[in-house]
Amino acid sequence: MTFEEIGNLYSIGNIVVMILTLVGFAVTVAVALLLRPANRGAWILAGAFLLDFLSSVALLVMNLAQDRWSEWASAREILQVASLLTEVVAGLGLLLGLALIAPARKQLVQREAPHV
Amino acid sequence: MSEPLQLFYSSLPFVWLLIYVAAAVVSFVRLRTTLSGLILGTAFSLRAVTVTVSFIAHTWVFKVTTMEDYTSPRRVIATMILSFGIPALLLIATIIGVALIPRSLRQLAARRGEAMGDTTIATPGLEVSQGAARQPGDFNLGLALGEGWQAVTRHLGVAIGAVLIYLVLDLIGSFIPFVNILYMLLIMGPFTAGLAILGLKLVDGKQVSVGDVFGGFSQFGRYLGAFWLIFLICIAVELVAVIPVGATLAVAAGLEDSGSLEAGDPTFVLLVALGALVTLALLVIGLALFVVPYTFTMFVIADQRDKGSAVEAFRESARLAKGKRWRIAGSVLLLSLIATAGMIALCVGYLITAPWMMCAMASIYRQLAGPKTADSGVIHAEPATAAF
Repeated sequence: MTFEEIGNLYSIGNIVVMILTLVGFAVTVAVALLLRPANRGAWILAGAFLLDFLSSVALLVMNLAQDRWSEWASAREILQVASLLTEVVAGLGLLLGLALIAPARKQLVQREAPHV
Repeated sequence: MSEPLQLFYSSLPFVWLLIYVAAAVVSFVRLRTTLSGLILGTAFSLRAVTVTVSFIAHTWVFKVTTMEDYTSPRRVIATMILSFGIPALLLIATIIGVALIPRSLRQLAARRGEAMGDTTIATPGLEVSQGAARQPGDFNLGLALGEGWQAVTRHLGVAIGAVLIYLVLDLIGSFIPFVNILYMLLIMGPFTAGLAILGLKLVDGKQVSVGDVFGGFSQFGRYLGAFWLIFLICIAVELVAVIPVGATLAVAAGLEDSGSLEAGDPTFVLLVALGALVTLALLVIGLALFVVPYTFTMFVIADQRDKGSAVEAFRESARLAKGKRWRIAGSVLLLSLIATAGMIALCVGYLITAPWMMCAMASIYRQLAGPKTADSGVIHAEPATAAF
């Protein structure tokens, strides 16, 4: 396989992941809105998906511009480290969001309770 | 590569392993054996396994020492599966798990005896905020999504059938030569309005049938007029918005022709990107200012609040959207994203997400406009000016 073919394959993979993270963001925002007002955990989850999306955009840009940016090796390296760090922060956000989401159940059932 | 950077790259798999294991534990502990707890916990556990397998594979099995190693098809396939294929599948599982969280929280609450209506777990101010969302003149997107979902699941067959008919006829109407011109000019508007009519009926809990998708033809002139007015406003906004990117492209092409700039040059890319950004900003602002206020026009006509004219329907829609343009714009964007998300799974999901979002939009309209009364027909609501 040539470098170009490999690059194209990785770009397709990146695009799929990118779309999925965007869908994940939309779904999480919907969940956060459903859990209002106790939605801190869900909002953090939504933020995590958004960060994941941004990170995959950065990785995709790097993949697509690999040839043109050959002279900008240091810039590419910075972008790569930044996107990987963003991904890690998104992972931690996912963790924190999940940890904080369960207490929302009380507000959820109370919200759906018939008003007395 | 510098030493700290090398350390950073080599420590990443371990960081991910820790995060995924912790996320799996948190999912199981927080959401227990509910469906979302099981899906999320399993998805994160499998991601931890994938990270480990990927690390082992890339460190020992597919170690790169020559160029041939890097371009070996076996290595590429393994990388595609481990870095994109499996993570993408697990990401879909995570999204499903997250979407099921509200359902699981209800189940958990039921298990713990936090039954609905139990006033001992009352949250001060909650009733007030819910009540405020129910005040005509304001809306709550969460409530709209909930109402939309309930409305669709109550008449799932009708909702799916109507969307299916709409999609099939829309496809036929859009692709047959000559017919597509007639379809665009005369049919599309009232046909699209049929979905709004059906959505409103579903949300209002009225009797519905698949044939409601053709309901727009009962007031053909008004729906057609409203459709064309919105369409022309959209075209005008887009024409103005496209000017910056067109101008920068022309300048960049001129500079390229004169030899002072090359197509792949960073300045060239930056110039076009700048134009695209300005275009995007203009598009967002233009749509929010000139299109969003008229989002509810079709609903106003379906609700018979238009006093018999499309122009009056526009006025009424703008009145309802007054002071809430950006919130409505954000809501429309989110609903569109969720509807588009249904395209996954060979577009089958769209048959659910499309009517759901249509009903959510109808619910937003109903919250803003207030309910219809049996005797006088309508209650006109003043736009909310303050949250209290």
